[in-house]
Amino acid sequence: MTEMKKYIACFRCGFLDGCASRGYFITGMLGNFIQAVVLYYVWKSVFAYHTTINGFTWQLMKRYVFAAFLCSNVFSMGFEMETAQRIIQGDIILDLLKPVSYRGMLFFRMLGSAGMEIAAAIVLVGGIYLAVNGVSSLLPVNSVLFFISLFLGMWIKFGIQYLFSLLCFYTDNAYGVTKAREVLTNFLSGALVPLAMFPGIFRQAVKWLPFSGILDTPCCIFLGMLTPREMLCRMLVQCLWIALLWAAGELLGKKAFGVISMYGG
Amino acid sequence: MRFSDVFLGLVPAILLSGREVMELIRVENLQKNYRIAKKQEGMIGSLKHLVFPVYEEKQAVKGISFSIQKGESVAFLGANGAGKSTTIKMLTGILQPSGGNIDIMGKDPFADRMEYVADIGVVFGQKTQLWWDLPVIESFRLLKEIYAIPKERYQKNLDMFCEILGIRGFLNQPVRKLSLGQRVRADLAACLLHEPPLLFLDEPTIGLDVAVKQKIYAFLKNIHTEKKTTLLLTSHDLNDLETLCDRLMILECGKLLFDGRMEQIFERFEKGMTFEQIVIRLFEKA
Repeated sequence: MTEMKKYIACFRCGFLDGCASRGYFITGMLGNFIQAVVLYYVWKSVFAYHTTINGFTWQLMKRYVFAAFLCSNVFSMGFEMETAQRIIQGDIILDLLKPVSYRGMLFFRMLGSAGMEIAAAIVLVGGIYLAVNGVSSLLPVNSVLFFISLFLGMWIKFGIQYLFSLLCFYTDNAYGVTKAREVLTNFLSGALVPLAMFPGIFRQAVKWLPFSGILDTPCCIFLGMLTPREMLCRMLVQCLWIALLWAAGELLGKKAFGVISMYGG
Repeated sequence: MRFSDVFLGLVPAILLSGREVMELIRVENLQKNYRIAKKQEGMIGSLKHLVFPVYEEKQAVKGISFSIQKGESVAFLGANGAGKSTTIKMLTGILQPSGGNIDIMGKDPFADRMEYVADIGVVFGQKTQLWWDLPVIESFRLLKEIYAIPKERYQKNLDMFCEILGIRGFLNQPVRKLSLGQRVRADLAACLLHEPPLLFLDEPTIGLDVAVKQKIYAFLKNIHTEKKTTLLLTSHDLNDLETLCDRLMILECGKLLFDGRMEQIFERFEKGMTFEQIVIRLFEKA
């Protein structure tokens, strides 16, 4: 319980910090929202000439765009830049001087900051979604499972971000690391193009990568594209990736902390 | 016989005569090497390094040994690059030593970091552990949970620190709005809320005015006397060291040049010499 209290306190500070940096939060949300609007109209133009693309109709795509926006908006800021700055300036040592897991502290801090993001995104996207698609488009059971899968997806995204942030211990080019992670995550999770539209073998391969768990899985659940068995299977794969990424982070984290010496005394 | 040979190894027994002696820190043959890029001058040199990087090892700490007893206040003095901050960082468990052993309160600081850091407090004068955009009190509340400080003890310590350090007036202000002096005082309180028996201070008074320094001296003397907190201090301000410490360790080029009581250093030189003059002489000899 004492251990959990530590992380709840980190969550609380993350939330307060998220509320304190309003300008940063609003511009980030706005940037992502513009991207969603652009995607919406791109797909609208595409579907003006096609009735279906790889099983997707315009009706389905209208729902996908908003669900995908919600998924990609969570933890969208990443923390590679901040981590790199803390490493280069030597401030990372202050985190390591706490009797608490560095990664756990980071996760709950991020979760706290994301609390604001999620709340705002649900209100904003939910409102627009209902205006465009209507209440009848919501499937109750799928909506509940969507939020569970979204939470698992956040965990996967954190695992990937953490692994990329460890690269900052070896290079001071945080911009490159952040960009590489963003491009990979957006493309392979289905934030830009639904994975169902990827060519045959590539589609099958990408589905088993951790990235699909961030967006494709929750979106497919939300849209009712999976059978109950498939939903369970995909959520189990999400859990498996969480465990694997957690283990990889543990292993590589220990190695990376030894490299702090690079930045001197 | 070298100057340093006369002084090293004499200290602990003399220092705490009459007091209960309990070894808190034991350091044996401590070493730290850094890998440094070796670049040639100019554009060609930079391009060459890009394709065929060459590195060399720099020995920052060259096999120092010492022990510190519970309740001591020890000053680390040295020129820039002497190895004092590196030594402090190895003692706090942040840096992994390249060689040698450190035993602090029965723990290896690097290997047992998570467990070990619960029993120490660390202040880096140039860094802050407080949340930049949040009021100071929020960072304190976080630390209360992180160190699992009982509510009564937290409140008692907070009240005491507010009184001695004069921080109550800005507890609800975001850290980014504080002056340097206010920030350092809040950082000092933050690192002592959990009453660590061992406190590391790395240049805690850097950039502070005389009035704030006096407050910090009074505070550190108070916790050293009242709570028997062991202090390890590095500073370029000789006044800090003279005011707060009983024992002086001088590092030069990664080696321990002097380890003795603060008064001993005056006894070894001509009468009337100031601490500053002595330190300059020592560095010249080294």
